Amino acid sequence: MPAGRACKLLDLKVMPELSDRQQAQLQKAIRDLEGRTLARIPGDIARLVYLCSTRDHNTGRYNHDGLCMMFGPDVTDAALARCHEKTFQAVLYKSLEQVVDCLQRYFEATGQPRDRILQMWQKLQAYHVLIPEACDPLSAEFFLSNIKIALAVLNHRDQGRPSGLEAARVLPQLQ
Amino acid sequence: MTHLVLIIALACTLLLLVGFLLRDALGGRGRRHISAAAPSYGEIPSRALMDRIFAEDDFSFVAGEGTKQIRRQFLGDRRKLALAWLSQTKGQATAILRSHLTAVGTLDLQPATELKLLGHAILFFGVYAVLRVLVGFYGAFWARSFVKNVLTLAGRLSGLGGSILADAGRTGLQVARSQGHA
Repeated sequence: MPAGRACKLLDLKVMPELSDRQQAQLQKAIRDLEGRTLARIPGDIARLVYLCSTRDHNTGRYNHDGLCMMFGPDVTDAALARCHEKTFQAVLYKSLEQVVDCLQRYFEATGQPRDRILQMWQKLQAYHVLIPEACDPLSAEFFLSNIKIALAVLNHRDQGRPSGLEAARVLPQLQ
Repeated sequence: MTHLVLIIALACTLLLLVGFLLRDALGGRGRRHISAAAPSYGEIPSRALMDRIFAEDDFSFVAGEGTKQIRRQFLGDRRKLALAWLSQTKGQATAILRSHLTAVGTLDLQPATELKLLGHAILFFGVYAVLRVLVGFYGAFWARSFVKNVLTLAGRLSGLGGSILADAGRTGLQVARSQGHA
């Protein structure tokens, strides 16, 4: 996706209060976060879930102990917010098929029974928290719609498969 | 003969719609006060999002993968999103035009720029009316050529919105400068 498009869609969190030194630190923190942590997480949805887990949903501020020790709370907050927005944009511009693949990959990576996760995602709709603060309402609606459709597609695919428990019962017999 | 009547009826409807939209956009001058000192120039929504809303690969994927119910949900969602995009685009253009009209009294106008702005505004609301009817009445997907036309028009609308912003922005900037805000 061209960078220009991304910037139009989401106004990346601008941090005018950060000094020049902090801006340099911010770039360093982002590189650190991307290189050491995010690169190890498989798939954009899993990265999005991880980044959201570092956000305090009462204050909207992000925190990460390791980064905070190295760069301080403000730079850490800004770095995590930037990475969150960037990852969100990447998911937003994926095709529906790619979103389905990403979700499937994430569900598999959790190691939990897929039908159970699918059920919870559809019932609790906790994916609403994956949206960054700076996101415009229309993009947020588009994202939510894509996730809902992707979950429905996965659910439809699963209807032809044995459930997690049934599969566990069948597997030893096959071996 | 029937075709001729249909074309005339369509043209009249469009003219009425454009007239109504222009009145709505420009006639609000007296009703709503917008401070010229702090013009709020929003951004025209991204055309890239409209491209994604009408992405053909998504439609093909859902048509191949989903049930009738999923397809219906997908089409309904996309139609709603497209209408929201249109209404947001129109809202931004209207806000820009209103701010411009509020600022007009305090400026030396350049007739060429004003004419250009008027032309862009008329075209914008014309394209908006056509798109609104297309998306609203026929649903998000009708045929491949339909989607292509909608996207072309959306591109045109987005471009015209940008032009309005540029034309009106020049005036707004002058106002802001004259009042010491820029």
